[in-house]
Amino acid sequence: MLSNLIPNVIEYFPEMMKALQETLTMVSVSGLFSALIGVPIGIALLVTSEGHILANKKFYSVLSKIINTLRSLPFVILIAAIPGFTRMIVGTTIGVKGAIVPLVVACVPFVARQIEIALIKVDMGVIEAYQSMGFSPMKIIFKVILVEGRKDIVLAITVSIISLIGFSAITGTVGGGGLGDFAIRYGYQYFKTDIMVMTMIVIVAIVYLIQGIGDLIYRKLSH
Amino acid sequence: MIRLKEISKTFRTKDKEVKALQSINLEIAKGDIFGVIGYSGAGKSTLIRVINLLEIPDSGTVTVNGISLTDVSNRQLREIRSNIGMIFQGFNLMNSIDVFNNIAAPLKNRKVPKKQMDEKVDGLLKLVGLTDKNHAYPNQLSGGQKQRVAIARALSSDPQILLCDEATSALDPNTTQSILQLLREIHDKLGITIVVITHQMEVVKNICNRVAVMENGKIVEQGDIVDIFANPQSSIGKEFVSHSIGSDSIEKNLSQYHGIIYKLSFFGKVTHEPILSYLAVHYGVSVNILFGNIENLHNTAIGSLIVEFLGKDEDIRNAIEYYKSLDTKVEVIRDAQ
Repeated sequence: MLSNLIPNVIEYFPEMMKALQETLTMVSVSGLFSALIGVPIGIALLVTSEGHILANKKFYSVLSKIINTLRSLPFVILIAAIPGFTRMIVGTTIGVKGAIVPLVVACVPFVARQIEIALIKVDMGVIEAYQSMGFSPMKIIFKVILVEGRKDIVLAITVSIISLIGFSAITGTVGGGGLGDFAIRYGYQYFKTDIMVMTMIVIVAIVYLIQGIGDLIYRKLSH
Repeated sequence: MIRLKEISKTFRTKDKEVKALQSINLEIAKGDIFGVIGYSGAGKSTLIRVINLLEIPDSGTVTVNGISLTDVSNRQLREIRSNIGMIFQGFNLMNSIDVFNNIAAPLKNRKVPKKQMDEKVDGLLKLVGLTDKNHAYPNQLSGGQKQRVAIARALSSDPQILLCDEATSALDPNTTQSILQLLREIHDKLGITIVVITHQMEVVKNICNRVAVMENGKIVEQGDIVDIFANPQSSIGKEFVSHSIGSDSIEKNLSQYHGIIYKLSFFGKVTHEPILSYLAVHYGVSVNILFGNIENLHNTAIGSLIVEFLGKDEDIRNAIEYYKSLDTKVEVIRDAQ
């Protein structure tokens, strides 16, 4: 019965599993690197903004402009624009490996802004209180801002990972593999509608799962 | 202990300038509970932030315990700051950590050993009356309890100075009283110097021994609380006092009376004597009392009367002379119509 309903999904099941695995690899590896690079940049944006603990107009404005520029480039163009850089870092521009570099480049500015916005919510009054206790700027970042803002950081990372899933589907169309590539190749180009539908269901399920985990951690951290 | 000399600070935005502090001179002695009172926008919050250099003045010097804060390195400044506790109108506790960790923060910053830290926090919780709230989170506490936690946190580094920035402004009258009582207990027990910024005369009256009145970035008068209360010189000082004793509504509404209206302020021994009936008996002047109040400030009674004298002009003049001989301040607040 199942083979009548979704014959192609069953026929191409191993391919689909491989695509799923590729997507998960792309998202988790590039997510990890984006967070490692993006979170510190987001913190730098926050603390150098006007009136904050390390306010520095020039630094903030330069960093902010770089981020805005990177964010305004459409992802497809970004992939096509930086193959040299991609090859320098991972040695290839195709496959999962070749997709990760542009994914990180696209996601870092996104994460940085998300983190800045998340941490702006940390009450300046609390920060001022810790300044009055003689905490250094570094201690305020690690002991106050990151602790007080951790649940909002979780939400920011969650949103970033979900948008990474979207980005990762695009890399598929330019040789990156993954679910996006799978859906386009079999579902769209070969008119196998059941594959298209099933891929969408899988992607939606992944997004829901990630958002669910994010919300769960957020609630755990809320007092 | 704290000396501010010629402090000025101007805030500039694109289209306007606010002179928050203008040539402020202030000296606060060890053991004082010093009040700074003024309406919002008078510059008092900027003033208290200058004391621990959270706000850097444009000019002037801040000296705490003989050290000029504007001359020290950032590291030394942080060291000095850890010796000055501060509490705020908004409490400013970290909501993501529990009461214990909030109070222990300054101790952790100074790497105090765990056992010593536990004992210290226990003692502080006892001092502020929150022994059972060790593991509660700030959001589970009332405003008054949050301020108690903030006070405990401010005291955990054994500071010699405690700065209170509108610390009771967000609290209801009963809670305000209990926090003020706690501050007084702490002052008496630890001998700490306290600086209080407020717009409530109530607060100053309750705990301060000295007070400065601020308006438009300037200190318009300062002195002993009893002196300021009995004999305010500045118009804003008078406003705060008459509002505090409740005579302001009478003073604004005198049209129904026809004679000369006087305000008599007296303090000390005179408050215990029947000076009004003496007047009637010896000078033949009858007195119509419009308002009367006696305040007790640090064991000094301060009386205020608003009266209308009825009688012959000469008798009234003699009566006034008699009052003046009693160290009473006589002020005409409205001439005859």
